[in-house]
Amino acid sequence: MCSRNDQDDGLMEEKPKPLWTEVCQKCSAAKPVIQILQIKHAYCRDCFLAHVNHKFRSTLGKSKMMRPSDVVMAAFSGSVKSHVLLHLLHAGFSEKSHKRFLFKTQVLYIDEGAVLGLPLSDRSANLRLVAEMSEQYGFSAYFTSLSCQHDNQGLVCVPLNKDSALSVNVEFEAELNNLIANISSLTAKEDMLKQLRQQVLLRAAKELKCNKIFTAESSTDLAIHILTDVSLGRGAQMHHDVSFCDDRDEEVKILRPLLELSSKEIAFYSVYFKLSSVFIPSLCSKAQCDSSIHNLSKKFVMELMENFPSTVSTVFRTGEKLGSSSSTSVRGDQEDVCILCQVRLVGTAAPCSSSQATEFSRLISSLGPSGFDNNSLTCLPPTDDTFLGQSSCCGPSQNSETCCVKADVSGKCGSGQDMLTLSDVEKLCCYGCRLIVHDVKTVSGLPANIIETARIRKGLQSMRDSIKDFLL
Amino acid sequence: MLCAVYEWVTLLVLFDIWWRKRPVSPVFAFDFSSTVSIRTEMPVSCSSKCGKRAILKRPKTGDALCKECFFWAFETEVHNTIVQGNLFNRGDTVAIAASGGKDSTVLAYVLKVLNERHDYGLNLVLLSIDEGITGYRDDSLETVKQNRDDYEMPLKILSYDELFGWTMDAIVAQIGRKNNCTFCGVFRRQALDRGATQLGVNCVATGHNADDLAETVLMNILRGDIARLQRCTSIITASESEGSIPRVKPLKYTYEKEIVMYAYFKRLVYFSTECVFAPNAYRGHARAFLKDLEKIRPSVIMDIIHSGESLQVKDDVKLPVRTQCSRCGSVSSQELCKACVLLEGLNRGLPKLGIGKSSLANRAREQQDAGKKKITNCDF
Ligand SMILES: [Zn+2]
Ligand SMILES: [Zn+2]
Ligand SMILES: [Zn+2]
Ligand SMILES: [Zn+2]
Ligand SMILES: [Zn+2]
Repeated sequence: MCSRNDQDDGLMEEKPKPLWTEVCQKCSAAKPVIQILQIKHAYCRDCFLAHVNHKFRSTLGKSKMMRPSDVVMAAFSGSVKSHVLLHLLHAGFSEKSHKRFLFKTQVLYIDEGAVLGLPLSDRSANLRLVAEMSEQYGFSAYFTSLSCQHDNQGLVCVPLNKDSALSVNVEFEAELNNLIANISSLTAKEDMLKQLRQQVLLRAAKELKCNKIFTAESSTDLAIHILTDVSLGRGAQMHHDVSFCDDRDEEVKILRPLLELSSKEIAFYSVYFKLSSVFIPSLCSKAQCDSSIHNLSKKFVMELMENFPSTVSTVFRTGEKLGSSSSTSVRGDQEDVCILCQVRLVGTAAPCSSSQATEFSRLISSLGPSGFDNNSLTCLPPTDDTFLGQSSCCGPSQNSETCCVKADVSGKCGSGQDMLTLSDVEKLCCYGCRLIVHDVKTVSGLPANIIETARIRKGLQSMRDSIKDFLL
Repeated sequence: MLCAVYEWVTLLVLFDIWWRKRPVSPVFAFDFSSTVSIRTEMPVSCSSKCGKRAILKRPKTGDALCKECFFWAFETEVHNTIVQGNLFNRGDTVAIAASGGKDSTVLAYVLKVLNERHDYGLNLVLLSIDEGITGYRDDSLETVKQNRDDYEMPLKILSYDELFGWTMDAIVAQIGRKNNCTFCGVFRRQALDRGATQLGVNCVATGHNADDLAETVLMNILRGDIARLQRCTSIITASESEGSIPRVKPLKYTYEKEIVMYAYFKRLVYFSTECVFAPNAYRGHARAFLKDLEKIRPSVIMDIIHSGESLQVKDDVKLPVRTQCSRCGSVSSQELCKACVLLEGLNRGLPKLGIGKSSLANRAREQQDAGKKKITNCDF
């Protein structure tokens, strides 16, 4: 049957005719220069810039989250959108009296050059450019490196100014490069980098005593994130990645004040203010567009924007409706969160679910008709994200060799007690992060702090197992 | 499949020509496009250590299996889904929505096998819908009749013509070649419900596979349809209103490629040709996207379904309340169900009525009603 059309497709809005008018729709005086999609009106330069500024302020305002005592860390990569974020913040601090922002702002730049294999001279040059750009706004700025996650103790943020020099810890950078080289697929590499970046941001914010982080994602970026997250099996945590506020961390909230602006609006804003930017390549911009899930999602959204311009706002609005339902927003202790992305692990997966089905496929493919007991079907253990208790060993594994070799018939890992294995780490991960770990070749390449946490949690778990009969 | 893998149109056109000139005896047809994972190089031994040579690599897990182990694994997984999802009760009469395509053919075959092997005690019947598409449905119905004879199941055929007074050919003649699939899909849903009621079955089993589901999750995100997004991954569409018959998807976690492999190695007869009406361009984009994703990470289909299953919707987001259509009584979130709106549009000569936004539809309807008062001799 034509199964795909069981539900009607409806009619997607195709490219609307531009509503180009003789005069600006707002002030009816000047000549329009830009057409804003969501409003479908042509605006003149001044009205457009005011509109962007207003969107930014209203996003912050209606969230009702900003307090005068807040110290905000603005993540600054030197990209167009992050420069626009600084510019808008600066505008907010330059306002008169009651309109002025009362919170305080610091700027953080993360050097990722090591992962991209950029020569040190390029990285130093980028650092200087970034320093100049942030200095013109008078914010106090800091920088750190992505490799700092391999440093288990000590401070990681260095003040950033024109005279700052990039000091490279060769050992940590080698570890970081080793970690990335240790991951077999570009998709998992990018996903790991994203998690690392997030961790560095949070760590730096705590060190700089900031309680909020501003990042510069546009609505276009978030539409891409939604499709990426869905494809990476991260549906449960998608709302953290695409809504205004990511409150996974207890102390520091990550806010996205540009999320109601499209990439087009941001680009025009930077052009009108002649904002400079530094092009810093990323893993994905170096590779072919069909080489990772992140790149494919981006390409897909860009193509849709061509043919169905309303897509971005529709997808973005889908994201707005996602969120934690009250039942799951209750905080548990630190042991119930994913070791990589800090999402809460909830053991609510139904016995009939995608993850159970994949696990079952893997189990019976390796057991075969002679090794599988048909009666065990009725008493298959329900699987869940937490992997607590008796659940079987492999998640959505690609390389069962690394994990299931020692599996006995019940599907449990027969791994040693002291040795930390990849499957141990996997058990502490959410569904999406397990997909990353599956593409990791050896456990030793993981960042020191992750290995450390995994050891502690594994130890606690085995202690709990040994005393569980006596606990009341 | 009404809208099968569209990039293989050329192949299928060739096939279509051959089909028309085919000998009268039933022929075997399979989809060449999806058998790419069958290994031809070095001999690999079966992952289950049965000692035999593997003949295929499973797209879902990457395991290499021999033919026997694959058949067993495929069937056992469907059995697992049926048991874990509590799809059937002993003694149920189950209508299999049969189109003659690979999904429903494999579904009918596997349900028959499992019903006997595990003694489900089910009474299986085939239910087919004749949309009235010349050169497509009349041929595929022959395949369904072949299934009926091969699997010894009773077959009920219901046509759009007798249910709605319109064949798809007639609808296309009126509305042109755009949005055909909207009509087709909405009417089929309704037709299956009515057919199931007429047959007095306990539930309808459809051939939706994992690829279909993942695609639907993506489509609902692109459409911003949060209610459907939440609903679309459920294995049983619960009968929320009285009188509507639950739908179940036993192949929900089965990859399309494995369905083709199964049909191929079992030499099952199925009808494989493209729906003569092109699918909506938007859905075409989503499908191409999914295929590209799958090339990068084959587990992505299960990963997307997992995402769909674990999505969380804010407490304060209002989801449309589902009630009954005031005209025909089927489940609907609107006063009139989609099928009734579309039908009204066709009968009024305003085919666009059900396609756009409902506010626009109301306006069109009002305009026509207003016009009718002036020109009283306008009859329907
Ligand atoms: Zn103006
Ligand atoms: Zn995680
Ligand atoms: Zn075998
Ligand atoms: Zn169709
Ligand atoms: Zn109705």
